[in-house]
Amino acid sequence: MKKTLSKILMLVLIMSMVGVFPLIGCKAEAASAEKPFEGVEIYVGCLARTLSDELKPFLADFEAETGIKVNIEQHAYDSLRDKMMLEFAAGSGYFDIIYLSPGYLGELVENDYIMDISGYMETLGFQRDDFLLAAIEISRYGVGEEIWGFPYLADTTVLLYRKDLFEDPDNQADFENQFGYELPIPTLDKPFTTKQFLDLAKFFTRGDMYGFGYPQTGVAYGNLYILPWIWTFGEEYFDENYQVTINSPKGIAAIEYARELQNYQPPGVLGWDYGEHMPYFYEGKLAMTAGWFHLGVEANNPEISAIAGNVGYATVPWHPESGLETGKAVLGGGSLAITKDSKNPEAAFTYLNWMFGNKERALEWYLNGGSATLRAIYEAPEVYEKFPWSKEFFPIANYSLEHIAKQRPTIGVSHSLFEVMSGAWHSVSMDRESPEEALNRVSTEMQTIIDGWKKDLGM
Amino acid sequence: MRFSRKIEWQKASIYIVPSLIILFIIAIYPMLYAIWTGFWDSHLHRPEVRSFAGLENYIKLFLDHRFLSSLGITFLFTLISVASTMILGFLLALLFEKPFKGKNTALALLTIPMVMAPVVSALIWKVFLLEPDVGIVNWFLSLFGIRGPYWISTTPWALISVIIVNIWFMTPFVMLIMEAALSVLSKEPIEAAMIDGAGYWKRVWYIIIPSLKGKILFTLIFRITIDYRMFDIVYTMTRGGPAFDTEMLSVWVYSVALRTFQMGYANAGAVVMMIIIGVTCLLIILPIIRKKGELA
Repeated sequence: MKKTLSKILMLVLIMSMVGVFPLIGCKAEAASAEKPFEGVEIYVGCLARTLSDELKPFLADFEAETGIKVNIEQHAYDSLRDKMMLEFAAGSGYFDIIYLSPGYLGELVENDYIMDISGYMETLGFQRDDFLLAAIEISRYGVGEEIWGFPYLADTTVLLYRKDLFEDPDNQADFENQFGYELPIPTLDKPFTTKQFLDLAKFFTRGDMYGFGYPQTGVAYGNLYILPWIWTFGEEYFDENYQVTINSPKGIAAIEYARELQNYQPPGVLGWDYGEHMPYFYEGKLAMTAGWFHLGVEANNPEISAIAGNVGYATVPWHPESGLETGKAVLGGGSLAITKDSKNPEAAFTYLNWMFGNKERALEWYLNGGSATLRAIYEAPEVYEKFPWSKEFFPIANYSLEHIAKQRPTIGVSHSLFEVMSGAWHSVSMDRESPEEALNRVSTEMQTIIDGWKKDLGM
Repeated sequence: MRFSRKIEWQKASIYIVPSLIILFIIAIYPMLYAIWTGFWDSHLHRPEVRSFAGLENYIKLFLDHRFLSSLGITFLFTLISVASTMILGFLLALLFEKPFKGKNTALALLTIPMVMAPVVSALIWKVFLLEPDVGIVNWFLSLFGIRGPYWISTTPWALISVIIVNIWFMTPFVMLIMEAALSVLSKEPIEAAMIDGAGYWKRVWYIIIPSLKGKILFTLIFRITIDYRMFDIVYTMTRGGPAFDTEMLSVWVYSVALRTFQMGYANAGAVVMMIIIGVTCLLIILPIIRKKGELA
């Protein structure tokens, strides 16, 4: 009896398994067809900023649609760079996607750590014309055709100034008395010249107020501050043959100008880090400053700024003797690169295109603190409804991105060059060296660094 | 006798060996690897093209004005910071020697800096206390008609700022050690001195300090090794600036290793740092070892 019972039980078990498994198989096959990346998990290394925070609300929808689980890990810039470099050196494949700053683009490309995604762009539904050109250009290395990162953050600096002070009749009369010409109000067609800018900085430095103020701490901001002045005066760190040109008469003139301007900035600027100038501006201690796009937008947001409604926007100053048509600013921001060690590069690209290539999602992201990389965002009525002052801001921002923003050097030793230059700038600011002495010294150091880099690459 | 000692060692080794293995993995092996790497010209991202450099990295160090500057800054920082914390910590310990109402509460409050993460402490000082326009320190100075400096971003105030913060952070550590040492000090010699008419400070100088020599030296060595390697407070507050004026040796090593990825060169700098700390501690300990038995 017992044996019979156990045989019957065995038979029922076998039949049920035979019956169930095909059904499971069918279900699995159907899932694979609809969601080819079902069960895949990807890791994204991002900056610890609002624009990364605001990606998280979309993750559940993405997972429901594609089956791909996205994990976003956020770090401060330096920490993210340190972590990713160590992971790359170890070949761990920890990150599938990482934030790609132009500051270390060259290093990652030259050491073969990231993928050229232009192939995926052609085959996986990327609509190039939807994107701002600058948002794509920021991930270009040298003059190559490869695209090393998906558009994520296209930014540059715009000038912010106190409209109320500039439009005050007493200030206008005093300025004209002092400098012999009308107090200039900048437009797109007539930006400030470097002379006007310096005169304005000098004019508005009085009492508790300074004419201008901008962060200059460390390597990142020391270099981000001085490099645009060098460009604006018509010089570069090195030429197309990688010969350092910084200590030319134009380069020296740029540093002399910047040193003069330093007299009209708060003494603490050498210690100011990202964003630390804005409280000074909001409190009325700076007549002019400069900022990345989101700082520019925030400056007229009444929920954030005490001087909302009184902030005007302008492009950066132009130096007529430079031979250039506009001033220059650093193309900032970054992109999202897919790592070479990623085990799921197609899934990674799918996420990027889903999130940033879709107009509705990109717009919602922008409205909540993200970045504008699609052209459509600048035309969206929702943006003007939420940020009414952006009508004044966007033309300046667009023009700056298209005509003024310039990609900083992206060769693998760029960071070392920036370190040398920012140290020299601090030394000049503190009157330890004259501009000429400093530039002659750093040109030798920079050339040594570049020659070493060329030798390593077999150039 | 020998046989039983051998058995004792065998038994002891069962307990010691696991710790030694861990110590080897986390401390000795990395140290040996760093020393070895210092003799190579190696780049983090291109390990396959490294070449043996011999003493080249070390020679380059002493021709590098930035490295030499960081040596000087580290020495100055350590000298002022260690001396200040030792003196302040000892004086505070003397203050707490006698019981008084609220002593434990006061002690607990004074140890707050020690239990905070260094980065948090540094940020609080940088953002709330030393901020030039709205910070508490400059506000306090303004009550006396003094316009406070731009602490973090000008010379020499940047270095002074990091020293002040380090003193604030480390003094409680010294105070606690000294306070514990004072509490177990024999009272008879002190009482005898009192009977002989010795004043308070004479008793401190001639009796208490010599009695605590061993613990003071231990604390001194500990403080030197910590301050010479100081990184988090300095990096958080100033990033080594302005113009590398607060770039300690540890910040220099970090910058070379993780910004330019020249691992051989960075490790050579780290080895030099290790040698300096080791020699300094030896110079302090050796006279004591020679006079064995003077240790309290």
